[in-house]
Amino acid sequence: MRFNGKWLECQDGVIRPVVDGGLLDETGGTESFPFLIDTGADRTLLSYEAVAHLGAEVETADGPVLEGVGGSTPSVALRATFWLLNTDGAPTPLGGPLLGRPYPVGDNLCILGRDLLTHFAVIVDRPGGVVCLLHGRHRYVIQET
Amino acid sequence: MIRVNDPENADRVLAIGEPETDPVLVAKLRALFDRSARNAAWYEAHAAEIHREHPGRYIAVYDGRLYVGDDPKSVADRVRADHPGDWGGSFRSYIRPRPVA
Repeated sequence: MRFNGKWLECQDGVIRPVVDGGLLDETGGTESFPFLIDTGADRTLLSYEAVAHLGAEVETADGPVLEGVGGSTPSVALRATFWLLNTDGAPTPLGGPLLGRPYPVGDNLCILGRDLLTHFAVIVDRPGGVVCLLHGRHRYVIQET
Repeated sequence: MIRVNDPENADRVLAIGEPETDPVLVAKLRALFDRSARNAAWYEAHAAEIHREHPGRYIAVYDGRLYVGDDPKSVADRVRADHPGDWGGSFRSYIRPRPVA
């Protein structure tokens, strides 16, 4: 399977690689969220906006502490599924026990971390304008031109 | 970089499922992704104008209409009010003021 992403200009003006994920809320309503492709993140993390969309009750930060360059931040633990659209037009579910942000932070991007990226060959090619995730029968070739 | 202070689950791997086959769910999610791509493309086509006219404000794009406001929630609420039950897939962003050249 192949999933195409894109380069997105974020709120700080920096262009980053993302792939759109779709979530359902408790009433079946849909919303899409950009997931930052972050090979340096241990875990996939839903933004506060995505957590709110799911209708998850966030009263306490009961997830593990997240440690980044900017310091530590709490998280909430939840179980959820989100979908990526593969290039055959089929929504493909990913998920399980996820973490989420208990409050809005910065760009409010969701993060696709190593716990899911380990399934994929990840291509983030800024000069070529390519962002894609390859899984299963799809492979890539490196060539010299 | 995000490291998780959770040694017992440090190498947890989540599941990737098989592509959906439920026609109702497939149609709903395809419509979402289609709208999301269309709205992002509309934003890209109008980005220069939007940055010129709305620096420092929050925007959403839905079906060729631009929503502008001073906070993301009020903008999202207006999209939802105009498209009850079918509001997903808007393009949402903060328009960062750009330095004058």
